[in-house]
Amino acid sequence: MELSVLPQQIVNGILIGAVYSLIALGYNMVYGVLRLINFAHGEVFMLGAYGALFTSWYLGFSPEDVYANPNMQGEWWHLAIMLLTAMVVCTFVGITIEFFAYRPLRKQPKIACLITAIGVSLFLQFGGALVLPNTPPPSICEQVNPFQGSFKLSLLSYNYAEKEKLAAELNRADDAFQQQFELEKKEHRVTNPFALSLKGEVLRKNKQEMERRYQSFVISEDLRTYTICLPKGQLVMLVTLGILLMILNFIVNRTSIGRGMRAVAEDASTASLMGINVNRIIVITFAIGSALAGAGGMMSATFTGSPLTTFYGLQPGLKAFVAAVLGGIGSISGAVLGGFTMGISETLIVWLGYSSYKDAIAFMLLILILLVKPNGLLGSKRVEKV
Amino acid sequence: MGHKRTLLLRLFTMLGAVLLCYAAEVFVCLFGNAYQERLVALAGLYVTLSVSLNMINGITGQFSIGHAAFYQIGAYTVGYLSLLAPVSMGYNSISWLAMMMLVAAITAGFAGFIVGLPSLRLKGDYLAIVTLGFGEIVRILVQNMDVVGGSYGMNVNPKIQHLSIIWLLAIICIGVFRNILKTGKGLVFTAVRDDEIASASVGIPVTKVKVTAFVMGSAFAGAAGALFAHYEGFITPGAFTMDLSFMILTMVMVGGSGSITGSVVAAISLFYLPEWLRDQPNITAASFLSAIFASGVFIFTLSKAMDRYYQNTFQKISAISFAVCASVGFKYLSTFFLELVPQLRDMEFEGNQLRMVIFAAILVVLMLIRPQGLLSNFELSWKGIQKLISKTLHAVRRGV
Amino acid sequence: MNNSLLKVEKTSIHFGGIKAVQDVSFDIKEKELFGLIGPNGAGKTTCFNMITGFYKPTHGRVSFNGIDISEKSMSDIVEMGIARTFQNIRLFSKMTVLENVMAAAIIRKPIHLLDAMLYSLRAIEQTEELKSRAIDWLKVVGLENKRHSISSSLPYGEQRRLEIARAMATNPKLLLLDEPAAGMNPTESKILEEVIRRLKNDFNTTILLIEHDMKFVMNLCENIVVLDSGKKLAEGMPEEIKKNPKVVEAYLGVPQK
Ligand SMILES: Nc1ncnc2c1ncn2[C@@H]1O[C@H](COP(=O)(O)OP(=O)(O)OP(=O)(O)O)[C@@H](O)[C@H]1O
Ligand SMILES: [Mg+2]
Repeated sequence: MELSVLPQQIVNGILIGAVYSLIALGYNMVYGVLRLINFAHGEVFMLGAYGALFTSWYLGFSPEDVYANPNMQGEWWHLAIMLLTAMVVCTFVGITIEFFAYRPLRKQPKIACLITAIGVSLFLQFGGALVLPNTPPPSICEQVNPFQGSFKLSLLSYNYAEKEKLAAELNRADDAFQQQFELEKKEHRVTNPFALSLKGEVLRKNKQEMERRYQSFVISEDLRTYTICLPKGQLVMLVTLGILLMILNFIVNRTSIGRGMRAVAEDASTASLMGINVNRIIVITFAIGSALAGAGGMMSATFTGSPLTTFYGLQPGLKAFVAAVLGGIGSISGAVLGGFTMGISETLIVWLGYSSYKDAIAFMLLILILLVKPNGLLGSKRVEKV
Repeated sequence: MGHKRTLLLRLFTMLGAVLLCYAAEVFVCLFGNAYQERLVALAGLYVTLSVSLNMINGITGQFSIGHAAFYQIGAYTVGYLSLLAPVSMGYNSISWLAMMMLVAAITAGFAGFIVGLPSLRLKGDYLAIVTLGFGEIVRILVQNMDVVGGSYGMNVNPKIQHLSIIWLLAIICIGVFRNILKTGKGLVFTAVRDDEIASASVGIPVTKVKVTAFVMGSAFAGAAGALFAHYEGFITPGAFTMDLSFMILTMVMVGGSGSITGSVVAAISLFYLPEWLRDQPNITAASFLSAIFASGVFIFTLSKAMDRYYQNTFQKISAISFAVCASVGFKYLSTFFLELVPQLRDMEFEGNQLRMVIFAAILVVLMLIRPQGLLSNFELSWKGIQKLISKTLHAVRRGV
Repeated sequence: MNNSLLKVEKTSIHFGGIKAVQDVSFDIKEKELFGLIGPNGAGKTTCFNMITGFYKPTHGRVSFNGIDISEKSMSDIVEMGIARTFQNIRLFSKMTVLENVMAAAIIRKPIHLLDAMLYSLRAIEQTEELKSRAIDWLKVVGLENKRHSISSSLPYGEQRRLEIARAMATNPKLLLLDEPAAGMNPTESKILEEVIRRLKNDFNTTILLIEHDMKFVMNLCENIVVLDSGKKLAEGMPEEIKKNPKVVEAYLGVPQK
């Protein structure tokens, strides 16, 4: 529970929260129009990640290619293509699920749909395991990501002078060592830097000492100044989330499709009386929600470099689902709020030192909030009229 | 007079049940191996679990999807107590088991009470989420409790393996819930399921009824947990995951929510199905795919045939047999063609790999063609059997 | 000995900005047939919801038999002797007609859970008694022959009568009927009128009735309260109400000159 890493943990929480939000949006939109918890949504996310994986292979970043040529580097448009494919794949998957599994049950009690959703989710997990690469878990090569490295942001003034001084000393020590090494290579045909003469040995030790000093200074200075390390890739992820949210906001609030969605969410039967094609709206909602999950899957797999299995969607799906409920199921801004709340509280728990309770805390938070605000943070209250 | 007969009948049913359980145990122990014995025991536990969840979900209409939590609470209560109880203590295993069941039932019932309380405020999906969350919380808490072995699990001493007790619990569970439903009291629960507001408007204390259902359901699950702990002699939190809850929920839904008979049938068959699939030899991708297509054909022809609404039994039977023939024919035909593709012919799946896929597929398909579950509201009863017998007799006599 | 049974005192109900009921008071005497009328959205159903505890009054109080019931729960209020029907019929749609009534009668003849679990003789007897009571009520509304039909399969008029039987099975002193004749054809509404009269005369039930069918109300009721936009507009005997210019205006709009 080191206070100085708190800002970093919060930033990590925001980054995780971004993925949760993207998944939660799908839960919320679908719940809005269908009143159905789409349990298979986590699997859509998983398929999005796989879509991105296969695209990256197709673009020449398969493990063999990368092994053969470790220095290859992706371009931003590689990522864009991966994102698009993941979204398209997921759109297709979402529409298919809707058409085959949920549409025939439109008039049936909700619990039947819920069971179907669970069934679809299990089917995708285990059926996917039959055909998708599964063991050992493949993951998207990090070479495809051109946004390597990270930005550093300090809250207190950073002692750059000291850092530069140490860096310079390190450089000098390194240079001296290299020189000696080159020299000995030429004179005594030494090829191993550990088999140098006494002088070389001293220089090497010195260089190591400098390195250690430099590192420990950076670490302690980072801690002292509350420095936040922001990987560039994840920053790109946040920006993409922002753009997607803006597009979504535009669709929902400014277009006739969005108006239809809001109408169906309010009251499907009245909406259909008003000439809205409810089925079409539902399909579009599924498409958009799934596309967002696909984007989430792609970004999560690409920027966090996590290994993929067909159970990849299980935990994030569950967490995002909790996030959706937390924010208020059926509310779009609620999903985003819930996602970030969820992400941040998770990292905070880790920070507090209860990392083994990480998965429980999601639900505890959920139950607490539901007991205080039964409709979630931003959900609107539905009064039953008699 | 009539009442006396009913009572006598019930008494005999109960006695018969006990004897049957005992006979089953003797039979299984004599003729079965340890693996089969274990399957029979676990099936009994699943029956208890699904029937008790049906009380909450199907009969009272409260959307609970975290039933494994109560099962776990029961099991771990017993596990913890077995740590405290001196092993050398002389005890009669059956009375010890009964006592443990009672304690576990009380603990789990209390947990059910705690979970049932939010149903004061939460409805439908939200309640579902809370129960799901409760299940996860319980599991993770247990995982972090070192007293009971954390995620490694713990040994429960002594190992007491009585098939008959397990099945007796199942039968008691069935009996109790059937009894409630047979009296007017049962209407209170079904009324709450049908319409909460209308129930309140005729004076039914809705909250109390819901909480009662929760407590009863979870108490039975807890008792089952106690038996599970002693039967296996070893428990880990990994045995009580969300998947288990989903499995129980599925049993209830597949059997027909509201039908206890359905829960029993579904619990047994859905429990054995994956086990049976596990033992199956490898299947080629071609035959697997063709089986999928064939079941599609079956559903399609059957639903088309049912749409025509045949009135007499003969027509119905011939429609169904047509569907069966069509799908079987299709299966062989498509296998033949698919095997022409070398990849499909050479790719093989193990039965074990396929079992969850098939399980999931059956779930989806069943919900699609029969969302009310296999038996919907049907209950097996002596009266029904009597009626059936007299009907067949009548038909036979008329035929002669 | 006409003492007041239900007293509604200066009650208001607000839903956010909407004032559905404002400062409404009235008084219902025992064995009275009391009418509550008003244009659509006047707040009549909301009044019912308030009396039966579905909503709590924002201001004011409701007392029944001299006891304040404004904070009591719905089931407690039924227990005390108020039963209702709904404007949009709310039967237990998957149960049979008989079961619908039995489910209501059970609060006067509670079966202990333990008895039910063990299926004891007492539980069996109590269930039988419940059944016979329910059948009695079905006879009153003329549905005893349909007792085994699923309630949602009944025609509309019969569903309304079943709802009344279900409400009566809780042995209420005061019965609230929310537009019982709505959507009925003349024959059905004639039968209904008879039923309501019987409830009053044979079972000493006080009845509070919402209805848009003026003939029906004027025929039946002894006293009438008129609501408009949540406020009480007039109160009195049917003849007085008929002549009251404010009421005519509320229903027909301002007469044009
Ligand atoms: N739960 C609620 N939330 C918000 N507004 C409500 C609620 N219930 C009722 N209202 C509003 O209160 C007003 C009165 O409604 P009410 O149902 O009592 O009218 P009514 O007199 O029964 O009309 P009708 O004759 O159409 O049945 C209406 O404007 C209605 O929209
Ligand atoms: Mg009304």
